[in-house]
Amino acid sequence: MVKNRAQEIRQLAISELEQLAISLDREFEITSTMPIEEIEHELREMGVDPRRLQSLSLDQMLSGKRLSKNAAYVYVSDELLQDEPIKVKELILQLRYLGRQHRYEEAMRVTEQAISIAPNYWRAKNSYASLCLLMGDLDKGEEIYLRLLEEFSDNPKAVAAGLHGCACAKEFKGKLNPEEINVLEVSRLYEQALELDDSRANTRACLLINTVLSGEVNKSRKLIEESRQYEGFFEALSFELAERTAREYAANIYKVVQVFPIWLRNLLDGSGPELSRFESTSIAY
Amino acid sequence: MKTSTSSIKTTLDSLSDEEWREIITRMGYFYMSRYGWDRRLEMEDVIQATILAAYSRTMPEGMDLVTFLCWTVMRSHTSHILKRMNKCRIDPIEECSESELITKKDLHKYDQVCAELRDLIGDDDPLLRILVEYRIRDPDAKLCDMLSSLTPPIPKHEVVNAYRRLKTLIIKLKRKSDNG
Repeated sequence: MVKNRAQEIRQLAISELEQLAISLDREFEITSTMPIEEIEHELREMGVDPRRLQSLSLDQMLSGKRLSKNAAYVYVSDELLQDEPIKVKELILQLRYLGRQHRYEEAMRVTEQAISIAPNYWRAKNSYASLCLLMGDLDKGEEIYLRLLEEFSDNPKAVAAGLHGCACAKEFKGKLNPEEINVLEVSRLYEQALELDDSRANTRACLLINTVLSGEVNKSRKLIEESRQYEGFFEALSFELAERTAREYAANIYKVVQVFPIWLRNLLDGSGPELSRFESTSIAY
Repeated sequence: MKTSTSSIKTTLDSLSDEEWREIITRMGYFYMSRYGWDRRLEMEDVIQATILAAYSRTMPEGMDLVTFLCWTVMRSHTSHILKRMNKCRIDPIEECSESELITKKDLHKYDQVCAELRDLIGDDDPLLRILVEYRIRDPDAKLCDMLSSLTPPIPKHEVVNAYRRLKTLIIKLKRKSDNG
């Protein structure tokens, strides 16, 4: 008890000393006037590499987002769950929530629970692979996707998810940089996934971006015309463009968007044109 | 960097790369000195939010840019964020005057904290000792006014050196405290 009291008094005294340091800093403008070399030294002492800060530009700050060095990100599905056992369904719903919150370690634990309850449930394995990618284990993630293709070869939805995952793994391995990726190969994987399950809005968006990156302009225009009828496509495309724009090594998404027809660019920018213009520009690129 | 203009936007936009790097490094230092211990915050997020909040604001003429960004914008923004997070005080006795301490808690505890403060500083550093005594006597008073009233007045570089010694002492005490 006495020891605890002494510790408490010590902590309060240290806090008071900190407060004194803060007052000195404020009144004598020490943070502003101390030599920059000394500031950098102090930062290193505090465990911060000054270069980490200095790499942030004013433009990045003002754009409202900084570039992430981690290439991986996730699109969380909101597809209806219909035939799943109730316990598994509950876990998948929790997993989706955690994924949207970027709480990947917790999501991983929930996924492991789902797999232990239903070892032959493809969605749980698919989520497990996605989480491996997100947590940096790209080889393991890709390996699980490849196994998914074999294990569930008679389930088109599962195979489509596996193909999409394989394409993602390849993109992440190349840090989303088209110069590091075989864009045509990636496009083919997304394309095959879409052939098996045309409801995959996210796959559609990824295919479109990679089709543009591979220089297949006519094909990309055809895909846009086809995709505009699919629910969730615009949302998925907007998500993909935003995530890729926020990544350090990703393709210059601005250039990708320039290939899109005017009506789609207006729509994505939030300045949607009137209906008549929407219709008339939709075929005039 | 003292500004002659009141527009933060104009000032920030006109900075050279080297000046920008210096500003952001100083902001990082301020953040780490004041909030570095708080795991609820991310340094880059706080700095970015500060820049975004400051960009549309004006600043009193002649005020130092870093002082304005750190002491006015970052402090206000972070205090707001922390309050919203869980209505928690930033520092245990931050901005809590002596009289508040006495009326809020027990006088005995206050005396113990003062004794501990004197003990931690010791007698070997007269200037730090004076600063601590000023702090104990009147936590709301301006230290610069108190120091300039001394004969002879304490030069600024002496105060800055005392600040460095104080920071070293705090780090030492915290390390000791963390190691039990």
